[in-house]
Amino acid sequence: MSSGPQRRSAARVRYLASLPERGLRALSATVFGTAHEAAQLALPRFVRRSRFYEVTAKNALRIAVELVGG
Amino acid sequence: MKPAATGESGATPEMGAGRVAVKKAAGNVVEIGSIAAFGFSPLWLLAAASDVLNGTRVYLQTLEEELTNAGILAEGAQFGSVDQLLGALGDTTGTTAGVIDMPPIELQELRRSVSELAANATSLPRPGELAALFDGLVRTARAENRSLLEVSSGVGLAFLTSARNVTRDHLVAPYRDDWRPLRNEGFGAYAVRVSGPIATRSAGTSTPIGTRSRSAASAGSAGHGWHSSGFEGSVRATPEKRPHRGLRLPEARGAEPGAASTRRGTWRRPAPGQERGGQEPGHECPWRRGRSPDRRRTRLYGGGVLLLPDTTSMRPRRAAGERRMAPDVRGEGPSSGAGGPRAHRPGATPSGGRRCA
Repeated sequence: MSSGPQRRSAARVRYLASLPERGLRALSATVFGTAHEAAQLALPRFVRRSRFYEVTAKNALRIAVELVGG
Repeated sequence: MKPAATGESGATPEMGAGRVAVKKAAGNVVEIGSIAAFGFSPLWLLAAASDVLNGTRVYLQTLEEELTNAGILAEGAQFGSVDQLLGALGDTTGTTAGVIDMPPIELQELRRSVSELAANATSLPRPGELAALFDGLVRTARAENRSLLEVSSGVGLAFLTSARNVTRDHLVAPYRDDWRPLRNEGFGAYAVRVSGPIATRSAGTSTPIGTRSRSAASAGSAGHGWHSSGFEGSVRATPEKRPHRGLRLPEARGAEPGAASTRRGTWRRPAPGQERGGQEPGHECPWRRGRSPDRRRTRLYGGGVLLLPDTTSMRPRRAAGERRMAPDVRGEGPSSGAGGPRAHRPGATPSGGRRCA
């Protein structure tokens, strides 16, 4: 049986060990989310609604933001 | 631009400089439009294509006659090729340049189009098709009682007008609509609103496990940002947030008479007036509140917030009329068709259940 302070220190170690991954996820969400919003404003509507854009860029951005960064 | 000659027409001797500038500019625009339309006119393209293909010179002679009748070429001028015609036009563009007060850049464009036609000579229409096009032009000119040059320039102008309309309808108008929120709110407020969910998600990754899903859920269900930009919103999978139609939480399991336990909860017979659908008139489905009707599906995974791309197309096709049933609808519950949380999804209508309004 581990005591309370030991559990807290173990949780802290786990948290510190996962910080790089968390940072990468946050970076992914920020970068690709910004790219998505910029594309929403910059690209013409017929490009954004084209099948090619949806199956390539839009889905890639969605995965990068929601799965990797979420 | 040349200075305006005051009193040139005699009608308005005291015409102001601004008025003269406006009239000159309007005249230049009209003239440039006509010349640009001439570049797209079929008669010109016919003459150029036939010259490139070493075909008949009928089109070139017709173009010469039309230009002579329009007063652009001198009487009796004859040319052996389109290049010679362009050279002659370049020599006589004193008139054109005087009218539009600009260098005759349109001739350079015409020469460039001749070069492009020569480079793509193999893809040009056949002589028979050129002849059919020319016959159509002649018939139209006779029917409209217009000169062939006017009809040809009109077709070119129609092309430009059509291109302008297509550009306006499919490029300018959508941009105007898409940027309207940006104009109305201002860039700062718009950026804050749109980047809010992203910032919350990014910040959520740095918080210890256990608090992350809650903050991310509040970011996703805020009803802005991702919804308006086409991404799916997130939905918390906590049971207390789920709408229910007859399905009660485990806290009520066995506490009420007639309640039956199922794997996912306790089913209770719905109250009178709430049979099957459990919705009264005017009921607003919580799943649809503030959401767009064409919203796609969002998957839920145990307790956390997880948004997945639309994988509808990857799912195995079901036979027509076959529906994905909730566990209690499949027969695990005491009453098939009562509907559970899954059956309450937008578009899901268990047998006999009313569709969510």
